Amino acid sequence: MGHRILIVDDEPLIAMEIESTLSQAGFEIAHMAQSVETALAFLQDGVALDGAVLDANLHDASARPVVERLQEMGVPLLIVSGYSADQIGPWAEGRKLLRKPIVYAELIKSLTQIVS
Amino acid sequence: MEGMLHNSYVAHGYCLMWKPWLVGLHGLSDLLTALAYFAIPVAIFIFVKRRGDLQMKNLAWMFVAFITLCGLTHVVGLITLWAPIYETEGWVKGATAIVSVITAVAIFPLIPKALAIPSPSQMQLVNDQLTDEIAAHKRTLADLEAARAELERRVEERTQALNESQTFLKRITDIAPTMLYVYDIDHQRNEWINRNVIATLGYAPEEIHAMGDRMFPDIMHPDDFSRFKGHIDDQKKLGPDDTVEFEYRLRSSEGEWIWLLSQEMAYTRNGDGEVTHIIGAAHDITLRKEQEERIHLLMAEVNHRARNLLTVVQSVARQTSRLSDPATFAEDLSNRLAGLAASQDLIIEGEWQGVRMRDIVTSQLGHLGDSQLSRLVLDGKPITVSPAAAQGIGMALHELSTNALKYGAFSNEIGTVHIAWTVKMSQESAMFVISWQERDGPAVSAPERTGFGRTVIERMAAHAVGGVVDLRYDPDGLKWTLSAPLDRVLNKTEQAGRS
Repeated sequence: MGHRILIVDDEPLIAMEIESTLSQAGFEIAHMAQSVETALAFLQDGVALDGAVLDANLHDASARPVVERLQEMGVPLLIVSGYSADQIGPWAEGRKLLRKPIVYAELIKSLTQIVS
Repeated sequence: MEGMLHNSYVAHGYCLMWKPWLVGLHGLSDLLTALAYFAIPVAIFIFVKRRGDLQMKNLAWMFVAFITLCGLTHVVGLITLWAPIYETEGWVKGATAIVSVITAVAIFPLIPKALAIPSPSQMQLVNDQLTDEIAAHKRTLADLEAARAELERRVEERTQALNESQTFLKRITDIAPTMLYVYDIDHQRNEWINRNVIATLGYAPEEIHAMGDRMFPDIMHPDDFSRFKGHIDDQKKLGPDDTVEFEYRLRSSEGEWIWLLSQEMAYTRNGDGEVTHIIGAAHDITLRKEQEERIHLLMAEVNHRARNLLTVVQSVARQTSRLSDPATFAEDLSNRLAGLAASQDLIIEGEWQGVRMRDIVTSQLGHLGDSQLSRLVLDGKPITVSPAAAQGIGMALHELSTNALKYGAFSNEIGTVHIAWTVKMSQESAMFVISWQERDGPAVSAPERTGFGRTVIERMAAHAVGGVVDLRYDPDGLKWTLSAPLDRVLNKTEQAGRS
C-alpha cells in the first residue's frame, strides 16, 4: 500500500493534477483540502498520514497553521508555492520548498525522500 | 595871623606877601591838583577791581600810592600857605619821593611785559583771525555733519538692503517644501533649521533644541544610524563644490518613520581645512519609498500570480494530454486556455476584487455561434463572486458549452440551454446555486470514460467553491447543478458587508 498523502491547494486544477500524478506514482491520496479550515478539520488526532504537499498561501491566508499542525503531528511536508522562501516569511525557512510551476519528477523524488 | 606864627617858621603865604590873588592861585591850584590826584587813584582802584585779570596789579597799586602821595604833597602845600608845617611837608615829600623812585625803578623792567599786552588793534586783528578760524571750524563742522548724514543714509540703505536680503532668505527657507539645516559636525547638533523641519518631524523647536547632540542617536533608525558615522567622515572631506547624499529614517513626534534624502555642502571649515559645519536639504521621500516598496511587493505578487497561472496551465495541459491524441490535445488545450484567459480578463478588470456572474457566463460562451446564443436563456440576479469562484465556475461553464456543442443541446438546431443562478437558504445558511439545464438535444447517455472535461465539471468546480455538484444525464437533457456555501462564492468585500 502506498504512503498516505494530504494535498492542500486553493487552486483546484493544480490540486487535482498533483493528485493524478501522485496516484500514478503509487501514493495514496488521503485528502484534498482547499483552505486552512478544511485542512485543519481533516487533521484530527489519529488520522493516518505519511506526508503532505501544500501551497504556502490558501485564499490569501498563510498556510502556516496547517504546517505547524503537521509538524506537531510529526508528518513530513513539502511546500509548493509560486513565492520564493523569503517572500513566504520566516516560518517557511528551513522547510523543503518547491517552486511553481511544478517539476513533477522532482515532486515525486522529494516526497519519496521525506516519507521514507 | 597870630596863630599862623606859632613857631619859628613863617607861613608860605607870607613869602607871597599875602597877595590875595597869588595866595589864591597857589591855594586853588594845590586844591584842584590834590583833588585830581585823589580822584585818579580811585579811578585806578575801580579799574583794577573791575579788571580782575589785570596782569600788573602791583604797579597799579604803586601808581595809586604814588599819585595819592603826590595829592597829599599838594594838600600839605595848600596848608603851608597859611601854616608853616614845612617839616611835615618835607616828610610827605620824602615819602612821595621814595614811592615815586620805586615806581620809576619798577616801571622799566615792566616795559616788555606791558608791550606784550596786546593793543586793541592787535586784539582786533587776533579777533578777526579768530572769527575767521571759527568760521572755518564751523564750515568744517558743517562738512562733517553732512558727511555723517551721508554715512547714516548709507548705513540706513545698507541696513535696509540687509533686512531685505534677510527677509528674502527667510521667505525662501520658510516656503521651501524641504527641510533645510546648518549642522555643526563637531558638536553634532543643528545650529539652524527651517520651518519645514518642525512641520515634517512634528517636534516643537524647543524639543529639537533640548535633544541637542542626542537628536540623531535618539530619533534616527538604528540601521541608518550605524551608517551615519561613515557619512560624517564624508561630510568632513567635502570639497568647495562637492555635495554628499544620505538616505535615512527619522522618527516623527507621532512615532512614524519618515524617509529622508539629505543633500549637503560644506559651509565652514577649521584652520586645517576640515569641514566644521554643513548646509543641508533633506527631502521627505517617504511616499517614494512606500511606492517603491509597493511596486516591489506588486512585482513579487505579479510573479507569484504568473507562476500560479503557469501552474494552472501546466495542470490543464497535463490533464488534457491524458486520454487524447496529439491533434485533439492541441485543439482542446487551446480552447481551454482561451476560456482561462477570458476568466483572467474579468478577474483583472475587477482588480482581483470580484467578477459579476453574468459577465462570467457571457465570456465563457462567447465561442458559441449566433444560432446557439439565440437558444440560450440566462436567469440570475446580479451577484459578484470571488476570483477563485469566477475561474472555477468559468471553466465548468466552458466545458459544459464545449460538451453541449459536441454532443448536447447545441449540437442540433432546436436544443436549448437554460442557465440559472440564485441564492437559497438551506439549513440556516445561505447557499449559492447555479444550474445548467439542456433540453431538446439528441438523446443523452452518460459518457463511458472520464475525461478532463468531466473532471472539471464535476470535481474542479466543486473544489473551487467548496461545494457539491449534481450531474444528471436525464433522457430529456443534461442537468448540472453546483451548490456552494454563499460565503465561499462571494467576493471578500461583499462577505465583509454581510458579516
